[in-house]
Amino acid sequence: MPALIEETIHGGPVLETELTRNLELCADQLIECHSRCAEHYPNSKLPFEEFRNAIAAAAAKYLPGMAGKNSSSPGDLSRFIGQLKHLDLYLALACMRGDEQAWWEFDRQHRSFIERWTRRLMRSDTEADEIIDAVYVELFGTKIVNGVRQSKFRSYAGRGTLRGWLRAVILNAAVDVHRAPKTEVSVDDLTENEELSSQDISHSETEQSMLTKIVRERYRAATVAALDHVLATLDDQETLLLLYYHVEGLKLREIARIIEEPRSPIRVWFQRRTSRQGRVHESTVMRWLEKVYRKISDSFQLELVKKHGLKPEEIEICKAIAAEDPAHTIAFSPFTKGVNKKDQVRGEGAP
Amino acid sequence: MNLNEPQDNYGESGILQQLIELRLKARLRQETLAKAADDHPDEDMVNALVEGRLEDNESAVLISHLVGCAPCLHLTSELLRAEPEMDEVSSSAEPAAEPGPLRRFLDRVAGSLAPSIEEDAVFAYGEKLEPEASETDPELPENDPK
Repeated sequence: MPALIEETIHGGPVLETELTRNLELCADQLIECHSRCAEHYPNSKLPFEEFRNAIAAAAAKYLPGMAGKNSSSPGDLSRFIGQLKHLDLYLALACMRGDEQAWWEFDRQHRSFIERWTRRLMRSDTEADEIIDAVYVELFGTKIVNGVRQSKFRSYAGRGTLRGWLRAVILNAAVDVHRAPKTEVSVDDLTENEELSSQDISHSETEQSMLTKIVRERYRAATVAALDHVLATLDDQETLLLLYYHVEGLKLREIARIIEEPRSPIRVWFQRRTSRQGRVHESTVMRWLEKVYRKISDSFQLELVKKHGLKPEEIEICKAIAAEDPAHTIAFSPFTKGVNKKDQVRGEGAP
Repeated sequence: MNLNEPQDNYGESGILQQLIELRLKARLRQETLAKAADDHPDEDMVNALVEGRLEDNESAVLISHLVGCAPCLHLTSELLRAEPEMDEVSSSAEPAAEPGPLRRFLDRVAGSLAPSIEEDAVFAYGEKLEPEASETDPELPENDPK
């Protein structure tokens, strides 16, 4: 029976097999990282074992996904270690163990950001103060399980910056504050209401209006099916960027940010699609969007012709029906708690 | 939909874009409803994606989640929306004079926890220590195994 590394970031035991062996092979790298951090934060003493165990736990959690296979080589582990934000991780771990100097350093580095970011999200200073206090409490951790304080820092593994992680933690905390039970709505009602539908029908329907309704329904169904089929053929990356633009309302320059990150896989994918190697500007994203629209439009019309047997004039009817459909005014309304809460936060706090 | 952006540049694309928007929203709703409530990536991963720090494999899995999960999609979009100037690191060496969140938190802990809880008591009642004092703190490990 293999031994276990008992403590992981999220509590699950890790088999001490390949990973432990690989960790031993990467010992010099770990020691070097730790001593650089210790030099950077001379007032916070984080034992090497804690640093190494945290990285081991992170590797156990993330390395299979990163390597794309169940087993990973010492090279994979070394690359993983090299990509972590060591200084941020060191500071977070020192805070997690209750090192007072680390907390004051954390406060010095991030307090101003935490306050500005939270105030930007919340409608009042009082609410912002509540969030800020709640975040500090969560970071410290007031619950103790099996003698271990459940600090929120436990979930930080150094994959991204501590600053970015804090931003996400605060966003989620703000969402929790905005949780509003009064907005609960029947899922059935919402899924029915928000489809492209022909529900705007008078109670006093004549035979003629019934026929119109049947015809419209046929074209509506064909339109939806054809468009769904085309959307399903898009890459996830394409769909993601379309969602950012259409559903989340991000501006082109905001979308460009995720593509501009030099090491981003989305950038690699985007560059392959656009044959563009240099900097990604808003205009690049705009041209890409126009290209996607053309692609969708062509496939959409082809689908209506081939699969639904529609003639060009009928395709025009489909478009017209879709254009005047009352559902096009729908907002991204509260069909789940999460979406509703976050939309409220965005609408009220963010520009 | 954003105004003054591509929709005017492609003839009938205004209608098409409305349709795309509606269907994207409807599909996102359906897929979000189908997801388990706790089946979401953690904040570290989500942030790492936005910062472009994930490998291809991880990124693909996460993007596949995002296109079917409204709350996570929204979290990433808020992270993208954040202005880069917000990221400036505070240059002040000491916390400001007024009670900050850490001080408020410490005061609260001091008022609510019994001093017999060793670790918290040290933290709650401790004033900001000078480095020398910290190094001699018996609670801290004495040696660095490197």
